[in-house]
Amino acid sequence: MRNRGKGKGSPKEKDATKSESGPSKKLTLDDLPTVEETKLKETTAQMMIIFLVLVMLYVVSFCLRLFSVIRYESIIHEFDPHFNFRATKTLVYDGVEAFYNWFDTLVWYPLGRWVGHTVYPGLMLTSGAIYHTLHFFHFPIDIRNVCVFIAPLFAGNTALVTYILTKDCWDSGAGLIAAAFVAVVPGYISRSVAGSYDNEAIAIFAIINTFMGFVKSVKTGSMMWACYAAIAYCYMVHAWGGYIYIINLLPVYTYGMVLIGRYSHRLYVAYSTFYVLGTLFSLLVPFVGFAAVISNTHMAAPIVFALLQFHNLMDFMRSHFGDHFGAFFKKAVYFLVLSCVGLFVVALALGIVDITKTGRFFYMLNPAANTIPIIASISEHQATPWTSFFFDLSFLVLLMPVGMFFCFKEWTDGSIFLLTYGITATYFGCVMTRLILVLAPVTCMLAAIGVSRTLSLFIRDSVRSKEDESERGVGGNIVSKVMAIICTGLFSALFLFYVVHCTWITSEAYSSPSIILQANHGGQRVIFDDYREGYFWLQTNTAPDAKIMSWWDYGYQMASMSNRTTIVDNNTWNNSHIGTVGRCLASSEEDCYRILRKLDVDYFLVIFGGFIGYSSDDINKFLWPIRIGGSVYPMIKERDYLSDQGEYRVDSGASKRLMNSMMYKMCYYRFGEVQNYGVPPGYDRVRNAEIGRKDFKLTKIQEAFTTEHWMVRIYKVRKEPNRG
Amino acid sequence: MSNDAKSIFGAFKKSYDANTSQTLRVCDAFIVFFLLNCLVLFAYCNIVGSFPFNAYLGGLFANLGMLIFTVSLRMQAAPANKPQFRECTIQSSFCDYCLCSILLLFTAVHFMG
Repeated sequence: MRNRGKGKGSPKEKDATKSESGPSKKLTLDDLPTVEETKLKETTAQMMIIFLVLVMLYVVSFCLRLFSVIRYESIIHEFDPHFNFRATKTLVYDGVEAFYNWFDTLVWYPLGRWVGHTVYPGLMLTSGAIYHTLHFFHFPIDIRNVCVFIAPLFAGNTALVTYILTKDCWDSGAGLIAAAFVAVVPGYISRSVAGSYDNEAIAIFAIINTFMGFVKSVKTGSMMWACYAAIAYCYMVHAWGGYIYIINLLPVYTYGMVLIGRYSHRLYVAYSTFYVLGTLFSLLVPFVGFAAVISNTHMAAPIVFALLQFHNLMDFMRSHFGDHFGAFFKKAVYFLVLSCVGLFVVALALGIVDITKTGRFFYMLNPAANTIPIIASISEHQATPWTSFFFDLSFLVLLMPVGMFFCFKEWTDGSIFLLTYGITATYFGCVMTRLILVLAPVTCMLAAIGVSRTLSLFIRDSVRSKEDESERGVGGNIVSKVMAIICTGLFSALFLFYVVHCTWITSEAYSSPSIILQANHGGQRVIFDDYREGYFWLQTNTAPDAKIMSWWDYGYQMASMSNRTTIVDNNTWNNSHIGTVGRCLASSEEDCYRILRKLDVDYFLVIFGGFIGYSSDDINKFLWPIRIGGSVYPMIKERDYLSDQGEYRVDSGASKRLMNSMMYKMCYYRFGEVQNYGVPPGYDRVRNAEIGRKDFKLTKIQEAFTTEHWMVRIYKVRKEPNRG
Repeated sequence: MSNDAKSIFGAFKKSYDANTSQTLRVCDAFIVFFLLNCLVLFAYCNIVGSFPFNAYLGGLFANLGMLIFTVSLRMQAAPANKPQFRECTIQSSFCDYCLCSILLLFTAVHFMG
């Protein structure tokens, strides 16, 4: 390499500096190593190192996610995982047939929910498979522990497939760095700690797995890898609703390659095989059903498929026609365009194609049109603040453009794929906080490419300097040895900082189970286990067929832990039902009582944080029940619940409607008698105000249970008095 | 106009006859067969109705899939394309073809109901 570089530039150099080849020798661009030459080729010793590093990454990624298990116990966190856990228990104890046909009568009373066809079964099937395998080998591990620990297990798998994908796109050095980054990156850890038993735990692995198979298929042109990608895609469709991203990204990538002139037969084989097998497999999931071939969100894939067939046909014709191709091509294009337009019009008229623009998918393409209150109310669906990019991705955010630059510099099929993936993932990461999860792996990959390419300049030089010294004399390197050592040291310090940052964030921010809280009170640690206390009171003190109403946030947890019928839960599939509950919370006691009797409600549950200062309670969320109730029942207007100046207050300046509402009464019943240290009686610690209305009686409901720190308050609905 | 079309297709036929070996012609015959099947199924579905839709999808995807796989096999077998498929031998191509066909037809039969 060096000789060739010297050869190109040397005629000028040799004349100027004939005798000395010391520091005064001018270096030209030809002396820089080309990108291809900086890439690693593997030897056996290197394979051993790679294997060892990957094993260590498995251990590290597993152990880093165990903070909450060590601090509290191995329980299921948050809200959605509780439903997944309940579904897994049904699958494991009742069998696959019963799971796919399960109609749940304990939720959404009186509607029920057909769980088998409204859930992505991948997570449950994976847990069930692991559980049955372990039991087959006589390891009697409880299903709860399988569910809690499946996410850290799959984190190691994600690191492995990230290594393979980056190796295909760049080289194995970058692959190892990418795997190391992705094992600890907080954006991924946030949804895959031990206990976070949610779809994303396996879905991120499934996404990168699919991409890995596809990129391998494009590189080698073999149908077997495309088949593997289709099977991986099948697993992804079973796992998460985010499979839509794959089925839209791959057509964009494929047709982008065609447009920039990199069409090759390998690309055709890869995409066509993947499309046919993948779509057929995605029809297997009952939740997706026929939407995979009819829905307009899936239409990019068949359109690109058809265009690719047309392109291939034209290529074939061109090879046989020679001179006559021009005339033929014109006729063919006219025919194709006319028939496509005709088919589209016919499909539109017959109602096969649906061009409405609502729903979550189109919200992601156009975030400004945020009109549906239920989607708008979810905190994870808000736009990402810029601080959370650094919080979740650390300095990878700065290295990602470097990697993108190097990918641009050398266009291979793999690097263009990483670019497409990176740019689209960045857009979606900016739309919703939750989608930083999708951005995290590709940031790791691109940052690793940037780091690897930069470091290769320094490390290669300090290794080669021994051999080259004899050829060229002293100081013939691009970078001096001292510089190389300093820069390598700086990078190492940066990596150390990254790991410290990730560990600290995992420990402080992402390891809380949300169902147990803790606080430091004068040096002593206080645990708030009120949620479980409330739910287990329900399980032990209510009739087995009692119906519990609460706001939809707590539905899954209630169904899982207290095993009682709930009215609405986190699935939020029925907006009017949720609107009815919202109306119930926002109306006066008499209006609410009519609705409660109609729905056969026995108990009513609210979460109240004013006693201890827990700010995610129902009073803080109250505007959302009002808005959602108002979207279904127009008599509920948000303005009525704000004070005269338009503020949301609970003290004496609060609006009359608010103080009469069921939510206010249930949260603050007898709270006026509570005297805390140094504040007036009835002082709400979250709103930092003394409540406006203290002494009121409840006529239609009676207080059944309040937990130790007043967080969960349960009320029993009184039956009507006997006539006569 | 018709002269043009005639001369175009005449040129095509001449070039095709001259340049295509026997193995590739067998593949081409299969391709035409699957394509005709797809068109017949599509026309039948539009005329008679799409119930049960899963059976229609099973049949359509089976034919479409076999079409794509045969086209891919032909691409990998044609000697002119060898520079693009460096790591594929004719044996591995055929093995992949069999694997994909088995998966496809197994799933398509599952869809018949």
